[in-house]
Amino acid sequence: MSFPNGCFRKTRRLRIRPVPEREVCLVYTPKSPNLYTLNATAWVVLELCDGRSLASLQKAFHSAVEPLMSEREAAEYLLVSLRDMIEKSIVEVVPGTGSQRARPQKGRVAT
Amino acid sequence: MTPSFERPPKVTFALTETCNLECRHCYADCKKTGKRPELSTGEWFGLIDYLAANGVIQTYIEGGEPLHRPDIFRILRRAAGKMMTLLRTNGTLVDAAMARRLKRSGVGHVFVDLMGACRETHDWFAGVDGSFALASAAVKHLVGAGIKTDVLTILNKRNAGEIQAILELAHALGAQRVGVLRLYPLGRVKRAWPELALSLDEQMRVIAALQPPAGLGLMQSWHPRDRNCCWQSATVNAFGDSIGCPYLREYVNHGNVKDVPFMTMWDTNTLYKTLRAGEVETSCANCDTNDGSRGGCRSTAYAFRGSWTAPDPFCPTLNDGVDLRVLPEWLLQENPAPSD
Repeated sequence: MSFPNGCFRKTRRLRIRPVPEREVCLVYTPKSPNLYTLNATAWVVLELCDGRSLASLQKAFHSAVEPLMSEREAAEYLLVSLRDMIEKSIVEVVPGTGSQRARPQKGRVAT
Repeated sequence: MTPSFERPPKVTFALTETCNLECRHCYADCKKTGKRPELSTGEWFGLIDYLAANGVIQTYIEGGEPLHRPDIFRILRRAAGKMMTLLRTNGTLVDAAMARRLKRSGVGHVFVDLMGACRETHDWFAGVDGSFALASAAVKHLVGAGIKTDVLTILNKRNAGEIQAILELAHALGAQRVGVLRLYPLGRVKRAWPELALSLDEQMRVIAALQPPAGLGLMQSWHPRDRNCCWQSATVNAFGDSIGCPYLREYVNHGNVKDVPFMTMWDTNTLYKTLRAGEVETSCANCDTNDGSRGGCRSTAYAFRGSWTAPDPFCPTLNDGVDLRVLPEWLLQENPAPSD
């Protein structure tokens, strides 16, 4: 799966339920009904998916996880997470120019 | 340390105490018509919206038979727009069109009860001829409609020799998993207890011998998986009572959502807080597949020992001579309460 010029955002109607007691985040995808549990690192990836390009995501994610992950490790983790979350309809890719962000967007956080 | 949630992410709705069947093993003593007024459609809508706003992201809807409620699809759609929605049904009302409608309503996962692997056994439990054929067909219809579907069965003396066959049948019908559940002394089944209850040794032998077909998941809660689920339990029954867990339905009432906001009960009710804190006198060191909880199921611990902190006699390590075939007399009272 490649993402030429794509921008990444949470799918519409997504519900996000932080569970800080267990350091995870629950995500409900109503379009394809499922409840997923994201660990803390995947949760960071999801939060960054606000319409950014891949390059912007890579930079922001590495910044969030260094020094625990090297730049290469962070890039690999990010790609695996994005593929997984796209497959699960948690994140979607929308057209972008690569340098431009799509319209900022947030999931519905169940507070 | 006992796990805990500040707010419940998952809530069970025991939506109705009406049902189209007459099951001998019914935990709620359901009838075709309600014994007293149940929450209205609008009251369920209000509760769903309130709970969603307070962080609930999954609901498990059971009964009675939820599909027996005429407003069930309105309630399902309301819930599924906000929460992962799971449904437990006896399956007899689910034909192909109903399965597709459930899919369209947003239900993500359905659990169908099968009490036997053949007509004779299942229909004997259900009390209505033809139930087995309908329930088996329901699993196929639901799978065909693209809904994840599991089969549930309750282990007892009458079907103990068929549990392996139920696994194979469920697999053949397309179910992903089978949950083998323990028999709880609740509702109508208490009157059939001597006829249906197995000793713990007999139960353990059945569970140990099971060989799920390749690709079929098996869920069971006997040792070493005896959980004390109360730490995360949240259930509202058909009348609006907050009862913690469906298996506590005869022992617990933390208040009614028509009188007190659910979260107020969660935050302030003393028994609710005590049960969620998971304090127990002793626990099984080898029950290690239990989310880190201790002491096993509180419903059966309370039923057989009359104490909220007693160990669960369904775990061989904690049983300590309790004969599960013999029901404590107090459970047969109108409003069961253990004697001191």
